[in-house]
Amino acid sequence: MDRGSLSDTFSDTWVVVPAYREEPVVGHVVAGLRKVFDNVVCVDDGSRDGYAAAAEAAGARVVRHPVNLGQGAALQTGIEFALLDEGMRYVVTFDADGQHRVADAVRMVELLRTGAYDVVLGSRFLGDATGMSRGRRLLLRAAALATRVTAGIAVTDAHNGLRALTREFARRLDIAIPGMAHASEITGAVRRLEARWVEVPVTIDYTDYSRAKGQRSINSVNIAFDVSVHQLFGSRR
Amino acid sequence: MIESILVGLILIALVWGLRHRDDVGLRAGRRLAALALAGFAIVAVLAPAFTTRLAHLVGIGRGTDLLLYALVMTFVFTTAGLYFRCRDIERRLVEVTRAVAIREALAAGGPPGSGKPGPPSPRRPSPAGG
Repeated sequence: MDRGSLSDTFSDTWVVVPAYREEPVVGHVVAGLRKVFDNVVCVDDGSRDGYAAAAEAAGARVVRHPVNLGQGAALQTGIEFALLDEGMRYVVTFDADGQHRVADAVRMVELLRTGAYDVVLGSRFLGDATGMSRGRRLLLRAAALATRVTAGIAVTDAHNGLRALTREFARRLDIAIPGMAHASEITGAVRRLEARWVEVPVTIDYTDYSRAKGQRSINSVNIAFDVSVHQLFGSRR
Repeated sequence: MIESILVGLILIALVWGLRHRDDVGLRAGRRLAALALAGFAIVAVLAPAFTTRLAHLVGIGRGTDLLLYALVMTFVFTTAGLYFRCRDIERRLVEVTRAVAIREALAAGGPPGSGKPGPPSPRRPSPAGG
């Protein structure tokens, strides 16, 4: 398949790449995405490094938060930017640290195109997680179990950054917690909106870089706290 | 028995108070309570015997314990109140920052999806009715 026909196929898709201080790899990640996807928006979450320039040079649109807000807020900003494109039908969320594979994103959008689903979630437990530590595996399993209990959604991998959403779902999602709790918010929205969802196996490439950039496992305590507080008390605009 | 009932009531008051944290009357009540506590603290300093008598009335051994309970309650309510205030402010900061960020991106590069080479691809109908 030549590049032209691929690009045509995905001109209705926006890839949202939230990032905070990811300058060393973001150019590479964006370049990989741009081989297939015309529309990539990087949300620079208040980094003071050359992130925006690197992403722009690689062919992405860049939306810059003047101050650092958190990954959830960055995702929501990217989604709202993509929604401004009236031709947009699908949104993909894609981590900036190079742990996801473009081919997985392509498969997920193709799955949305069948019309059978509103949300496609990536799962490293159905697929491969290269180089994942034992402790991390246990923690993520526990998080998936917690999602099953609280959101009533039987996911195998609650905290995978690779997802594909239809426009309608993205429009109604509204990620309210600025921090790292967006995975729980998305599963929560799946239930609230009674969305049709599916998990597909994806490969996560754990590198020294992504491990160093990734969250510390103890942050799961903060996430659980944020989600509970949000569910119990809501928030004001 | 009475302890568990009291603790339960405290928790209910906390959750209810925070859920209705925008209520004007409640805010006024909190401030009056804080003033009352300050008055109580002054009395406790000047007349310790009085707080002890008060403590005995409600079945607590010492006046200082009564003051301690009041202080702990005030601390919990104040901390929780401030936490939620920060959260609400953060939420507004997010909205403002997002609006600024998107506006600047639009000013710098035009609306998303425009200026792309080639004709738009034929669109299939959206499953979710997008």
